[in-house]
Amino acid sequence: MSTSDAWLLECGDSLLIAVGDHQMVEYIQGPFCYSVPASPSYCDSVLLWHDNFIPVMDLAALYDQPIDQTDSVICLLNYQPAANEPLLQIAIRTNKAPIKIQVEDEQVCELSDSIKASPLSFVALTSFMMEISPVVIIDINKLCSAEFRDSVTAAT
Amino acid sequence: MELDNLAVISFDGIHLLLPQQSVATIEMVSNIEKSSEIPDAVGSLKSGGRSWPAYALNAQFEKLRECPPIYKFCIALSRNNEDVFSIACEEVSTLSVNPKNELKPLQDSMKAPNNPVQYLLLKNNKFMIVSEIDAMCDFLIPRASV
Repeated sequence: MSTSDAWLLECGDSLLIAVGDHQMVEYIQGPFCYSVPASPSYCDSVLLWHDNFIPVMDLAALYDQPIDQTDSVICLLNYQPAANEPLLQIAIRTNKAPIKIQVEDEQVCELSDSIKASPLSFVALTSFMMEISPVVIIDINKLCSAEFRDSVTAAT
Repeated sequence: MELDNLAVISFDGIHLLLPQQSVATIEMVSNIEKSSEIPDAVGSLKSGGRSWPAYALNAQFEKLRECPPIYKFCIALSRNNEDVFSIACEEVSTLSVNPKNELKPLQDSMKAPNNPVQYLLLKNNKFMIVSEIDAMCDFLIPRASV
């Protein structure tokens, strides 16, 4: 039996995702974000962080239920688009502060039908049960890719 | 395209930056002749015997059917001596930037098809978006009418 460290992010009322422990940079309560016009609705603002503009994603917006920004938390995550390339950051908007968890192999389960039928199927690696709720493990590289953006915009 | 001297076109809380060298003229919106012939435009800006399709945008870059009363000016832009489009706005100014150090490219995840925004900039406590003439043409002018 093996155990992995991860962070649990509540991205909407019924959307729980998990990312690797090493990917979490920090989380910020209610930061100011700048709107960028003509961008996809799930990624239409940026956070100024260390002199860089970091795209802010609201995955609940993929389900037409965007998170109320006044009370939200921004989770900053690292990802590496390709080997030997520098780390980049992406921000994910959540309902509340993320929680550090441990996931055991036995918790792994199949992706739910609703995830399989949603845009997130493109970025879902697998899922696991957390008490009675399914949690989707997300591939951050794919989430930040042009392919994911195109698949979402083609579906809307 | 030179991106060191930029025209700052302000409307609805947005500061849109385009290359200063592309600016042909700045006129009052009263010089816009209303017309429904140009798709998505509020009319045509007429000046000195020349004509530019005139567009009015809101903060989400939606093309408005009418020019809001607070938009007082219309900035006309040209590309290779071709009068391509004009944008109604509240204010126009100029800005010098260091493109290498100050302009931050828009990341892939935000580049929706036809999104004309190419760079982001925070300067003088103002958040600004930077585009170029070709990208704005693709965004404003439907392919069939180019």
